Amino acid sequence: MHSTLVRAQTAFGFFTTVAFCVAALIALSGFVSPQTPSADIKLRNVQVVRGRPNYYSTKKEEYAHIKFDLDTDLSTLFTWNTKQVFLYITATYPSLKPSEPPSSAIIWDAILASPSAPWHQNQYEAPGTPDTRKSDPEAQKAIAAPGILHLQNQRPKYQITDYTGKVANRSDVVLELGWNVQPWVGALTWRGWSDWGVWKGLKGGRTERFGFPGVKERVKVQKEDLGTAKGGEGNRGKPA
Amino acid sequence: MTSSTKVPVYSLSDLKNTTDDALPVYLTTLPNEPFKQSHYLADVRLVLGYTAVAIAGVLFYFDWTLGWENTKAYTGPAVLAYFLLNGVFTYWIWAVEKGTVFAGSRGKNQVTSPRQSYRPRSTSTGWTDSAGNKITMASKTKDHIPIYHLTVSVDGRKLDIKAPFTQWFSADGYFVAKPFQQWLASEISVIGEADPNNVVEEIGRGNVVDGVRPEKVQGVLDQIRKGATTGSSPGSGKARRRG
Amino acid sequence: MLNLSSLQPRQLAAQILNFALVLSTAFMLWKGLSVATDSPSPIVVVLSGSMEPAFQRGDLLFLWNRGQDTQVGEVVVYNVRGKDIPIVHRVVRRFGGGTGPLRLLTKGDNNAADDTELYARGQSFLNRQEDVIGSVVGYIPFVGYVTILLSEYPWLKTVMLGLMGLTVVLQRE
Repeated sequence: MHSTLVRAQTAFGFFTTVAFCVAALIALSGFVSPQTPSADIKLRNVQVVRGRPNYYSTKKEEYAHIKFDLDTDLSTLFTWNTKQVFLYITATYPSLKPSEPPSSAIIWDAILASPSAPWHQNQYEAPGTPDTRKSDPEAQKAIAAPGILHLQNQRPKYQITDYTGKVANRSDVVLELGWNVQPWVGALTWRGWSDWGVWKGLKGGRTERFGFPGVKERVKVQKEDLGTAKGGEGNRGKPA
Repeated sequence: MTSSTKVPVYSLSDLKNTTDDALPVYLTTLPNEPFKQSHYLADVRLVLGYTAVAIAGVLFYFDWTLGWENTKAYTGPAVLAYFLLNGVFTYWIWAVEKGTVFAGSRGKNQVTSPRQSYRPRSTSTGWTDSAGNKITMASKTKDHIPIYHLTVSVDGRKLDIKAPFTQWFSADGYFVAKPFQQWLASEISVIGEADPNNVVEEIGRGNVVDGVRPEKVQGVLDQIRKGATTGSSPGSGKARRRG
Repeated sequence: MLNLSSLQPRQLAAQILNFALVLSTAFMLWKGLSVATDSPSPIVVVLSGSMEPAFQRGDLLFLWNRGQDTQVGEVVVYNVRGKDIPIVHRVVRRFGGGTGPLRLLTKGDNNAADDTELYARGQSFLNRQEDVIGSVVGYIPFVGYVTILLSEYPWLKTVMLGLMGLTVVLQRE
């Protein structure tokens, strides 16, 4: 019995070592695979309206509603160790206090699934993506080359506000594309602007500086104009 | 203790451990001035190990009662000290103890200061001026080969001996003390002095032909012939003992 | 089998030391990692599905807590004030910083709403320095599931500790 235990222990120990080494090699392999991401992002429209954070709040805040165009080629981010790319667009604007760095907030995000990832409701499906369940050659192509997006006049997912509750008439706002590559195993990585080894920094992916306009009265704005894009998030009640 | 222990015969580490344990038992009970065991090497190892464990224990206690933020300043130094001690501990086992299973002395030169007596590094130069004997024994086995290697250092003179475990383990895994003791007493002269009754000249399956001189063989043959004709053999008693 | 009562005191002390060294080395490695990452809990196990599909229950996350200029898009682990439950969520908004405290708003990838309601009463943002215990930098799937099992079935802890002790005591060298 003693010897059986020892043998089981040895076998398990060996299995663990091998698994660990294989995982380490896979994790490191991503760093030698070249990345050449590029993107083009353009402001389409921005409006500022007054609203409440939620329907039972009495607090009135100003919200910026930003529409944009986005073209990306992030296909090189998808290696065999990529599980998904969490893509997001941030609006960055200077703080009111000169001592503070700029504030930023996500206005839109999308989970770009790797072809190797199983289906999940949260994964982003670009408009016009053919039904992947049918054996459509176009669909197969879309799966084979993830990370290529062409979005026109895209609505934001989130209307943003500042902690002061005031965003109207701010200047020097910039939209920036960012991402977080989530591996199957290993290090998480984020968008970089400069080159790092065989990884090129993001080309483009930043808008010109622009300003938020003054507050528009709700009545004068078409309700349709202020709609936001909905994500696939499964948890729609209280956050958990 | 050892003779009643049954071990799985295919487990090399069990065979070695049982044999290692039998060494001090025998050496400290030799009939003629037994060795006095010195625990210096083991004691230093234990002190190093337990000091490290104590540091970890104290850190654990304060981390538990005071929390991370309050103990943060001491955690780094404690971790450093722990791993330093652990490093010395490992160094002690690998470079100083080197598998030592027995260290001791007998005769006039009984251990007074362990620091002087057991400088394991100086085994090659040795202590030749002593009237008594100092002995250290380090054992090892090679992977999957059931042979017991013993490096014996007596007063600085080194001796490497080896023997198969089958010599003192029965087929069902019982340790038998007698052949083991005979092996030691015959191979190591100081042990042989201390326990002459266990000395045997030819152990097991040694190649005896090499050492036999032809004229001696002739003498033995003559003796046998004489014995056969007279019917009495003066050497027979001795021969029985050796067989 | 080794019989403890038949051991010399030194051998017994050495066996106990072996066991103590295994435990203390694990603890000190953990503390060393804490010091290196400057985080009280440098490795955490994902307990909820609120970050799916990035992280699932039982995944192991490695945290880094040095360089506290956390950017939007990073995934942080924070403790809600007054509760001792670590939560892993993504930063969706940041402001402040510089000379004052950096404030963060977080959201789970799988939650439609941000975490405002999750925070302590009267708190609508996280304080980077006080509330956050680290930013996620590394990921190993599934292996943390053992700890979920251990916390859901506490008797497993006793069994495991016992087994560990037994193997260390039984095994020499």
